[in-house]
Amino acid sequence: MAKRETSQAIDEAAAKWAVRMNNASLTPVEAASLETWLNGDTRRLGALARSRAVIEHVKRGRSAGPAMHGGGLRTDRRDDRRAGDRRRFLLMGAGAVAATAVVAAGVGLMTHKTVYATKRGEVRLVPLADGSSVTLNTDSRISVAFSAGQRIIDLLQGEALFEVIKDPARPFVVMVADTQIVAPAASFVVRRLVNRSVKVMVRDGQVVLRRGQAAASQHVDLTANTAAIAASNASIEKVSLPPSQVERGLAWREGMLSFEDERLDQAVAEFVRYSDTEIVIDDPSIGAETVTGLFSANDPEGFARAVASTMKLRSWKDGQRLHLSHPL
Amino acid sequence: MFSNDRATWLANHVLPHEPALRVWLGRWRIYDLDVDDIVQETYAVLASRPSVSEIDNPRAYCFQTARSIVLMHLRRTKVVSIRAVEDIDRVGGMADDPSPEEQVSDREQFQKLVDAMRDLPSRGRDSLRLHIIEGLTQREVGQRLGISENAAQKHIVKSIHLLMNMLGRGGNDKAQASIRRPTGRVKDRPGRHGKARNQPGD
Repeated sequence: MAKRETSQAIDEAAAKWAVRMNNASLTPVEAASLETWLNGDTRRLGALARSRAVIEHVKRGRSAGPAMHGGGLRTDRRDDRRAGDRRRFLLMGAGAVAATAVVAAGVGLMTHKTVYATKRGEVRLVPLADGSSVTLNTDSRISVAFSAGQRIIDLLQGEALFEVIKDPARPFVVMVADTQIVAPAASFVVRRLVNRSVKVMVRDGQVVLRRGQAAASQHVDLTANTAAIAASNASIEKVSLPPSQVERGLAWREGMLSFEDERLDQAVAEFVRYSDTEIVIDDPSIGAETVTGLFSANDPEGFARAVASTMKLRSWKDGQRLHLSHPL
Repeated sequence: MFSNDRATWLANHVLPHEPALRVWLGRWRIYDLDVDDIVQETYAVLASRPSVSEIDNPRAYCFQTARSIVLMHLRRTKVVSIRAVEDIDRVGGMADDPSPEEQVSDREQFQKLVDAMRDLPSRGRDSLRLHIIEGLTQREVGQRLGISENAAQKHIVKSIHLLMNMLGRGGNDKAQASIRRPTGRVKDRPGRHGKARNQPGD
């Protein structure tokens, strides 16, 4: 009887494949050879999955970035009041990993950009090296560049909630095209969508909006429960909001969309951001109706059904499109 | 082949529970049950599922999967000892999550990663950090550390293998001592890793 391959031998071979797969996609020859290997024993696929999971786990150290200074576990996150325990733990953990990385390297600080992105329908919490965090909404992308002197985040597209930890020596700046948002310590949402005005909504603390160059530059101060809409024609409109509306605007963190007397056409435009299914309103008069409720962002069909039943409309599907129209 | 998303899902939802799963499997004391094999096969099942989005309690799910694999093994074994059959009955009552309150926080998971990385040999740790965390190519890692590309690759693979052992077996978890010999085997197999950890119980 052939000697049974030990789990350790399998693990070692699996680690090799996992590292290889992490580098780049396999060549056809490699892919064929991997397949042959996997077919030899069911345990091998398990070991490969396990080693790839370990690599993904190690990558979490990445979000902490190398700009972390100091060493050891940072537990002084008292000012992160808003975040729940879970989030605070995440931040501390990330800091700890980064600290290890820096100690291990024995080097100082260097700046490099790290890009984080979400796919449509995805929400992602990105802990940053300084203890701040960013939660990315659907189909969003940021680039993070931390250095000894500043913390710069470029919102390339989409929407993100920033929770900024105070660090007077290093300003925290979110760049959105020609608009800069400077936040000493705050919790705020920035939205940048194609063909729509940039929107900033402050939940806690305060931020300053800056736009344009030198003499022509504009400054707008925003405090908790205020929002600013920066249109492309250079005007900045400031509105104050009830706290409940601010929280409602953050329902996406739980994968939900919350509307209160929202125009149906605007609610539909929101849904498009979260899934590939498009909702089509067949009669413009329907679009002006308003909708109230909490809906699952990834379930446009459920939304269309609910709307149809409350507004006495007809909802029907045509491939990837959902239609809302008057009853026949 | 499973996607990268699946690997991330496993890292988030299964890896943290692996030490508890091993302890649980070890408690059965079924003769010749190889915990490592069961764990690998459990991962194989989870990796080949078409979707995991409907699994709302991954911990319970992976315990159940492991249990059905054990039962399958026992059925396949030609000579099933009476002891093993008794064990199956006993095990029947343990189908669900043995200790749902025993959640692994993200903080603990990170701390385990930090500890495990600290315990890696320094060359291996540096190679792993530069390659996986900082995204340098293996060639660049070699240049940075003054070693060959091939040597860098070996260090990285070795480190992943060590981490698989340390994280899966719970690092310096107290559970470690009780799972040193989980299968009731007379002798431990050679090449067991995780020795780099300081284990007061050893």
